[in-house]
Amino acid sequence: MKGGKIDGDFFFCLVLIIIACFLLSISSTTIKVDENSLGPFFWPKVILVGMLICGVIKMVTHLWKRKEMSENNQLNAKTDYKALIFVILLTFGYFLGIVLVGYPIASLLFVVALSYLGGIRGIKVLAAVSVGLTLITSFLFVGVMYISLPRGVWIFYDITNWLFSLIKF
Amino acid sequence: MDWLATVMEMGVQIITLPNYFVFIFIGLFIGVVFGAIPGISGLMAIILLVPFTYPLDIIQAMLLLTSTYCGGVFGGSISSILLNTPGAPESVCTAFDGYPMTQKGQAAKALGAAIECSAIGGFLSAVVMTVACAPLASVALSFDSPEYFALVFMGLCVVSSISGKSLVNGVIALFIGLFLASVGVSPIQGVPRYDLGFPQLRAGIDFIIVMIGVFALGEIFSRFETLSREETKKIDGQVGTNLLTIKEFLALKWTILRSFVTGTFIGFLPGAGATIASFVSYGMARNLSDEPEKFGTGVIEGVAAPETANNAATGGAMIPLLTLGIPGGGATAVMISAFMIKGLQPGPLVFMTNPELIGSIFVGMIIANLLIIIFGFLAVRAFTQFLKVPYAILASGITLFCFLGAFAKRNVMYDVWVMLFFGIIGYFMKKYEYPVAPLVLGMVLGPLAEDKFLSSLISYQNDFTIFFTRPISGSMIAVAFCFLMYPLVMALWKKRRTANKA
Repeated sequence: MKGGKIDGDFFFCLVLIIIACFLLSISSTTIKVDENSLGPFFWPKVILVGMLICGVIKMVTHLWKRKEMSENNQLNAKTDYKALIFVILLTFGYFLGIVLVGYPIASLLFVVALSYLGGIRGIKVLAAVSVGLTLITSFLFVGVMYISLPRGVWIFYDITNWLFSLIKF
Repeated sequence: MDWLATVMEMGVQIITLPNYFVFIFIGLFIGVVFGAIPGISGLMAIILLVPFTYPLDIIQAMLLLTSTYCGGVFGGSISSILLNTPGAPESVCTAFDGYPMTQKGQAAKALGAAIECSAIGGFLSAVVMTVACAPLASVALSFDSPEYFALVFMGLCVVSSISGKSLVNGVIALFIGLFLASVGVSPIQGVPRYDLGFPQLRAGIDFIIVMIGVFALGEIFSRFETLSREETKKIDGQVGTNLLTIKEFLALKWTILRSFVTGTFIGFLPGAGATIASFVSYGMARNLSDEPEKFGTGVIEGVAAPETANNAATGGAMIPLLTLGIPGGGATAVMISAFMIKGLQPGPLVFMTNPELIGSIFVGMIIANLLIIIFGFLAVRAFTQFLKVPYAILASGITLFCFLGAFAKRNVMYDVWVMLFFGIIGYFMKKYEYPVAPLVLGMVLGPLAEDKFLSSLISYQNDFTIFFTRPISGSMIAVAFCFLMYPLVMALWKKRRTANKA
């Protein structure tokens, strides 16, 4: 079973089955409920059993059609995993950065980084886009909708506060 | 009819106020732009607009979302016709004949037909919605728990069976959605479930956060995976629009009428939506044509049929949302959240408690569909400019809005991390062809299904046969099983036909 698609799909199903088994094992409560009713875990248990059955069907079908799928897989093998991992890590870093340095600074850096990753190289374009997007979103959410966006910690808190004070009505 | 006249009058009075009317303009503009740019759909626009509805009243919020919905469905046709790259799935069929028309130098005519047919289809279906909603709502009032459960069950079966390439994938996605909806405190006994020791999980998982993750963030991850291999398509020269002449319009009248009826009906079915409506209408137009062999080479009927149908589906899709409180697809599921944020549960009772809201939605959708004609002209001219924006910049902006959308709901970073998690899940679902619509509908309808299922059993002494013995619920369950069996029967039939041919 070589190649990304068949392994990944198989793995996806396997994870699903393991999660469903784990959740079924914790589907009980110590809180006393009415004996005549079905109980709070009846509904999710039905769903989990359904998920388990479908997962098994999918895995069996997958193994059954292995040869046919690995041929298709070779056609779909051209995947830029490096860019994908970068963009996921970048998004993770952005959300973490928002907590640490505040929304405006983290957004400025994130837009520059993601645009650069997407192939944009002009410094003027990168600067204009990052400043423009950060200003517009900050203005809409802080200035117009009065939503308190994260301001970061330490000195960044004061910097963000000062930046937000500029765009507030 | 007196009720309808009163409600429509209320709607007209509200819509004519500038602070309400402006939201139709904004929604249409955003919908058309998002719909037209390949890779970001009208649905994504609706999802990203949700945080902007927090400070609005429910009427303004619904006008904004419904107009975006109408605009988004139309917008996809522009890139289909000009670039052979559908901006949204519902516009795939439009490209079959729209792009060949562009190649033949008839882009302006194809765009004109798309604008007119979208406006007509959407307008007529909005009228049908206006007329049909009140009688259906009064029927819905007579529904008891078993009927409601059967209806939800039918909707979930339909969406799982027809929204993806594989039935098993659709059902797995549905089960994931239903399970996620069951996290938190159980509806009847009030017992916490699957919180895994995290107090945040006791409040449940917000489906809007999940939607932002799987639809918007998952789409960005997915596009970046292939971005380096994508070719940038450009439009040569200035693009204009050329409306249909009366003679051309009269020649298309049966195609338009048939597609409108088909689109409205399919839109009404839970889970079916504009994409299936456009495919069915295109197929019907080709099969009933005197020259079916010309379809795909650039005939005007091939543009008129899907464009009428996909916009007609918008009015149809609003009917179950407004009358039963059951969303049929992603866009209407987001709209249900707008209701819930404002403390309203859509359904038959809203017709009595908030007639001004219902009237405003009716009038708003009728006007929005008529305004597509004006916006269509402007959008086509502006489209060439929007296409110049690289995807990386759009993705940066969308990610910022994803963060803001997830954060603004409760002002907690926890929601943002949940969104990122579901963004990654959304990427894998897209990659391995698990349809997202059943997951979302499972999350939206899961609590309702569980509540009605357990209430039915409590009311009828744990008698499971109650769902099958009552005529309405029994019929709905039967229809649901037919839909579930449909892909299997079709697969067997195809296999048999192939074997016979061989």
